[in-house]
Amino acid sequence: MSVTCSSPSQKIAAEFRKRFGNNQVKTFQVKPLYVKEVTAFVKGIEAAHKAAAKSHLVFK
Amino acid sequence: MGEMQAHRLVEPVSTPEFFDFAPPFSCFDHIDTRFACLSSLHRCFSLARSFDAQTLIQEAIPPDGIIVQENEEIASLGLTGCRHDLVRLSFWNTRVTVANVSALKDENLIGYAILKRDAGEWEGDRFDRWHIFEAVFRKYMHAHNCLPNTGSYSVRIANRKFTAHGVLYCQQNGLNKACAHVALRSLLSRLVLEHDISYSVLNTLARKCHDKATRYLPKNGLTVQQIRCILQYYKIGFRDVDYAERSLKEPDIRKTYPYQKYLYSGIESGVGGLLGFSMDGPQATEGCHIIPFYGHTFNKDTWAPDADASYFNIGANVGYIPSESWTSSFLGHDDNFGPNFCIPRLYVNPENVQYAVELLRNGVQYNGMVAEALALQLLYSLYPHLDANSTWQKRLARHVQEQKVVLRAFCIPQTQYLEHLRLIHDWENNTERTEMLDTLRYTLPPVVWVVEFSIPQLFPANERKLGEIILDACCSPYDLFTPFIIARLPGNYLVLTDKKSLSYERIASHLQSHVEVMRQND
Repeated sequence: MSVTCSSPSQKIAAEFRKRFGNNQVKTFQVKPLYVKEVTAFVKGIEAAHKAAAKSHLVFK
Repeated sequence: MGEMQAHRLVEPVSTPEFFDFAPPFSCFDHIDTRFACLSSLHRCFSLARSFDAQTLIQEAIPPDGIIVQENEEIASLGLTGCRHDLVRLSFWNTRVTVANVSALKDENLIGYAILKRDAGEWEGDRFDRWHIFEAVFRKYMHAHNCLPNTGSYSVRIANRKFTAHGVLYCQQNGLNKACAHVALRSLLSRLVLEHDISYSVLNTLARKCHDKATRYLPKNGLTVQQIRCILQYYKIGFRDVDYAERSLKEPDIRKTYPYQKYLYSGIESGVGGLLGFSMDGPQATEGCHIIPFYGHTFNKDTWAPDADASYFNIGANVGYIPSESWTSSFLGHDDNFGPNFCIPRLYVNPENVQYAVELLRNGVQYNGMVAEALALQLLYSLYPHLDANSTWQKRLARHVQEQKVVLRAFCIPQTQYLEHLRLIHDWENNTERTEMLDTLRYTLPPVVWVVEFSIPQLFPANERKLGEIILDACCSPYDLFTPFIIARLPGNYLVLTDKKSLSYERIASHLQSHVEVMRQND
C-alpha cells in the first residue's frame, strides 16, 4: 500500500478514494465551535496533573 | 523477565484437606480457629457462599518466588525470630473428594486465597498476624456487572494447575507493605507481562525517591511521588490529581474534574484507577487510605440522566451527559475489608477525596475526560453539517443542538475496535463492508480512544449508540484537531482531510442506524 499523505485521517480518505473512486467522497468545511472552552478544560487537567508532583499526601 | 507466578504454582507440603461447605460447616468457626479471626477472610468466605460453593480445599504451601523475597525483606526490616506459615484455600462449585479431584475444571473454581502468617519480634513487641497475601474471585455473572479486562492467574491446587479469573486482591501486613503497595499490585498485576509485581521491587523504587532526611519504612505507606515513580518504572501512563494541592489555585477543582470521571475512564479502558481519601470518624488516621477500582455496575433504570445533576459541563455553555450517569457502583477492593466490593459511585464524599489516579495504557498522552471533550467539540462543530436526508443523523443533530448527547470514552488497541466494528449490526441488520475494515486496519494507530455517542432514549435501555469518534491516543491533545482520525455516523464516516481549512470528507458506510455499544466484559 502506498499513501503519500501524513495523518491517519488523510490516509483513510486517500485509501478510500483509491478503492472506490471520488464519487463516494464528499467534502465540506466546518467552523469550529467551543475551541476556547475545550482548550481551557484540557489544559486544566494537565495543570492538575503537573501540580500533583508537589503533593504532601501519604497513603498507609 | 519471566512470569512471576511461582508462588501460585508451588506444590503443597501437606495433603489437601477437603471440607464440605454445606451446613453444618461454619465459616466463622473455620476462620476463628484456624486464622485468628482474620476479618478480611470473612469476605472471601461470603463470596464463596454467594457463588454456592460446595467444597473448600485447604493446603499448606512453602514460600516461593515473590513470597521468598517478601520474607527476606521483612527480616531485613527488623522482624527477628521470623516464622512464616502459608495456606492456600480454594473454593469450588461442586462436591470434591479425593476420589474425584482429578476431574475438576477451571469453571468449577470460584476463587482462591493465599493466606500468610508472619510472626516474630518486631519493634520490641511480639508480632503474630495472618493476612491475605492474595486472593482472586470471579465476578458475578450478571451482565450489568462490568469488568473490562479480567485478569487470569495460574494457580496450582491439589497438584493440578488451574486458571482463576478476576482481579488480584492483596492486603497490607504492617511490616513491608501498606494500602498503597497492595492497591498498586492489584491493578498492575493485570497489566505487566510478568503477571505480578514484587513488594521488594516496589520498596526499592520507593526508597529511591524517598526524602533522604528520614529512613524509608514501607509500613508507613507511599507518597504521591513514590506512587508516580512506581507507575513510571512499569511504563504505566497516568493522569492524577491531588485535590487538596490543586484547590489552592482552583477552589472548584472537585467539581470541575470530579474523581468519578478519573476512575470511570480508567475502568472502561481496562486499566483501572486509584482513589485516595481521608477518613472521618473514630477510625480516622492522619494518613490517607487508597484503594483500587477495576469495574462498575450499570443500571439502565437510573433516573439521574434526565436530571440536571447528571449533566457534565466543560466551560459555561458546553456540556453533555456522561455514560457513567448510569453507573451505580464502582467495583473495587478495600484491603482492610476484602475483595470485590461494590462501592456506590457517589458514596465517598468529594471533600474527603484527596487524590485520584486514572491509569493509561503505555504511550497514551491524555485521559478519558480529554477524549470526551475533544469529541464533544467536534460533534458541536459538525452538527450543522449532518446529513438532513438521514433520519438518525437528524435525531443526532437535534440532541447535539440541545446538548443532550451521551458520551462514553474508552482507550483500546485498534484491533479491538476493528473487531467490534466487524461484529456490530444496525437495526436493519446491516454490517460494515470488509473494504472499510481493511482500510482502517492499515491506517489506524495501534492505540485509539473510542468515544461512543448516543442519545438518552437509546443508550441505557437498548445499550445502543449512533456512532463513535476515533482519536489517536498517543499524540498531544493541545491542538484539538490533531488527535482526530475518523467519526462514524449512521450512514457515513467523516475524515479530516485538511487541518488548516478544517475540510472534512464524508464517506459512505453500510451501517445506516444505531448499533450496539461496545461490551468489554470478558
